[in-house]
Amino acid sequence: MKTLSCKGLTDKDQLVLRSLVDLMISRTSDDWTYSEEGESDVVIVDTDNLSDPRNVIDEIEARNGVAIEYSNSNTSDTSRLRIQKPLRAANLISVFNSVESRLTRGEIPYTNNTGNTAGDTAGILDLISAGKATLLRVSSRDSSCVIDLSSCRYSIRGSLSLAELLVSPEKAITTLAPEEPQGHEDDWQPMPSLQWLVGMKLSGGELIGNLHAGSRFKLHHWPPADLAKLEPQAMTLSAILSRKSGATIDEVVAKSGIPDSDIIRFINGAYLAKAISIRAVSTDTEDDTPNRPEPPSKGLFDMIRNRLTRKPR
Amino acid sequence: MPEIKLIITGPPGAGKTTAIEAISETPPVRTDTRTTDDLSSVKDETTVAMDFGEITLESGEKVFLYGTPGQRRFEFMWKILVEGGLGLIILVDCSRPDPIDDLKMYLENFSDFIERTGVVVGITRTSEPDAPELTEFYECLESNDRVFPILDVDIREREDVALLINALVSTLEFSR
Amino acid sequence: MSQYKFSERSEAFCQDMFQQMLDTSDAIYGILISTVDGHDVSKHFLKEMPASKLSAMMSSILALGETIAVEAQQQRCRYVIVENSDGYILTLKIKDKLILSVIATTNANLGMLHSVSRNAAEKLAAHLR
Ligand SMILES: Nc1nc2c(ncn2[C@@H]2O[C@H](COP(=O)(O)OP(=O)(O)O)[C@@H](O)[C@H]2O)c(=O)[nH]1
Ligand SMILES: [Mg+2]
Repeated sequence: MKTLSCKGLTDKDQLVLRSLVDLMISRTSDDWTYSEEGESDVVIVDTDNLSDPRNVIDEIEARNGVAIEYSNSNTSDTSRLRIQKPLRAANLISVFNSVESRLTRGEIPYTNNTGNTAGDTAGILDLISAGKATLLRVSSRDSSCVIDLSSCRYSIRGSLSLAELLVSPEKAITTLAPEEPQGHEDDWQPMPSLQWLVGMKLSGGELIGNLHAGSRFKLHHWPPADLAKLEPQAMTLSAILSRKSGATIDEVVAKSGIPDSDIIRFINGAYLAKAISIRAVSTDTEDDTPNRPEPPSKGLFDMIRNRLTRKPR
Repeated sequence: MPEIKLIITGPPGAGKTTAIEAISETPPVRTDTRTTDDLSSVKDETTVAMDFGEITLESGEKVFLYGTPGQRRFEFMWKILVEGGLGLIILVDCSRPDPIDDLKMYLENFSDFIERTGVVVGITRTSEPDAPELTEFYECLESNDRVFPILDVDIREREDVALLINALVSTLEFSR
Repeated sequence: MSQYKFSERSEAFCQDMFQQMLDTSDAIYGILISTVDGHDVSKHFLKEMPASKLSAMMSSILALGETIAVEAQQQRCRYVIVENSDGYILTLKIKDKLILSVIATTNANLGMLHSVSRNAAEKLAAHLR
């Protein structure tokens, strides 16, 4: 079953939409229901009636929903699905059928036994982020690990650590059905930042499916302490991405000097951990807080960080 | 250049004194005295003026760490201690009755200072059965557009105290 | 909230002693007994002053005095004295849990304030034993 909702539609259009959905059920391959609110699979967005349709669409796509543009104009510069006004059953049906193919595209069980290039593992993140892979087995040489993303725990055997295993060039990843026996159940280790770590380590240099490299990202949770201990750059990246208006990848590069591939990894991790969202525009002014003391020099911050990573005397 | 001074605050027993002890190079200066009220069932001693510790940077400059008393009746010390400070660490103890409320109280009381500088929140004793989830603590920050770090820590570990300071320094450097 | 409290007998003893102190010097206009961790226990003020705030402050300043003494390698802090253009505030410990603070105008001489306060603290310590 798929759910549908709308944003910005006039009352009249909403009424038409509902009655069309009821009518159409027999002519689409999946069952569609209209939902008043919540996170539906598909959202029809009236781009003529909203002041910031771009923002609304970004948010829908950031949570893996499908946005359909609904407007008077019949041209668009995006590859997004669109319906031209007024609403007609035939248009809806054709759009719905393409939505179904988009939504199911990732559903093939993911197995990767070659795993030589980074790109090969990237698809797994799309499956995870779509909620279609919550239990994974990752193995390489003598090591094997079952990763339970929904409970933030893992169970590992062999000589590699979890982080090493996740980046091992010879790894093979299999998705497991939740009810499948794993044979590891006795030694689960909890790890609050598991989703974040998996997102970072399995990134293949590309953002997860629905994210766009040009977007403005805003972090609303910092990673748990265990991640920060594993990933020294996490603090800097979190600080920049948690600014009032968030930051684009280019801005993060400029501020931190961290390569964009590492930033993309971090954003993927944050996305799987549901810690990041998309912002439409920057509202930052240079410095809008009065009486803010002159910040100390950059060198000072580096020195403090250096000193802290050194062992006590 | 402003003084390099960091302030650690939070309710009594959250681990302010312990944190400074864990990270300071010199034996910390303490002003703990006997507890005579309810707190004596939890702790024999409480800080009434300040804790003080220091870390020397390679340039020879020093970072001063000041721990405040926790109880609200020592509010006047909070004001004295934040003067000229670079940033704030709030510790919240999950073994207390209402840790969320504790966090709100300190955020509110130090709001001017936080607005001018930055804050990091360390959540201690997170294994307590009634400990709130980290996301619940994040909700306390919602009125603030800047998202400050909230980290679960064992304040007795030097590495964890270092992590809090590191998060604070990163916030001050990049998240203004 | 459980707090340090005097018995009725001790409270009467204190009020008695406060009166004697006031009789000894008319420069004295405030006497406060508080706990080392900053709660007020008993007082006699001839002028409106915030007793609970003062109690917390006295506890801080006495603890600081004791800590400063140690840092400067001096022994046993006896008093902390705040000397102002129009008065003195003198604070000292009574046994291990209580603090006595005496607030006076500059009409008093500091030596006399010392001895009055020290005397009172000793008497009280003996009474509370
Ligand atoms: N068992 C346990 N004790 C802790 C933990 N964190 C801190 N403590 C203890 O809690 C106490 C905190 O006291 P203190 O540092 O004086 O707190 P302050 O009032 O904030 O200065 C110390 O005795 C610590 O050893 C923890 O995670 N587990
Ligand atoms: Mg303390």
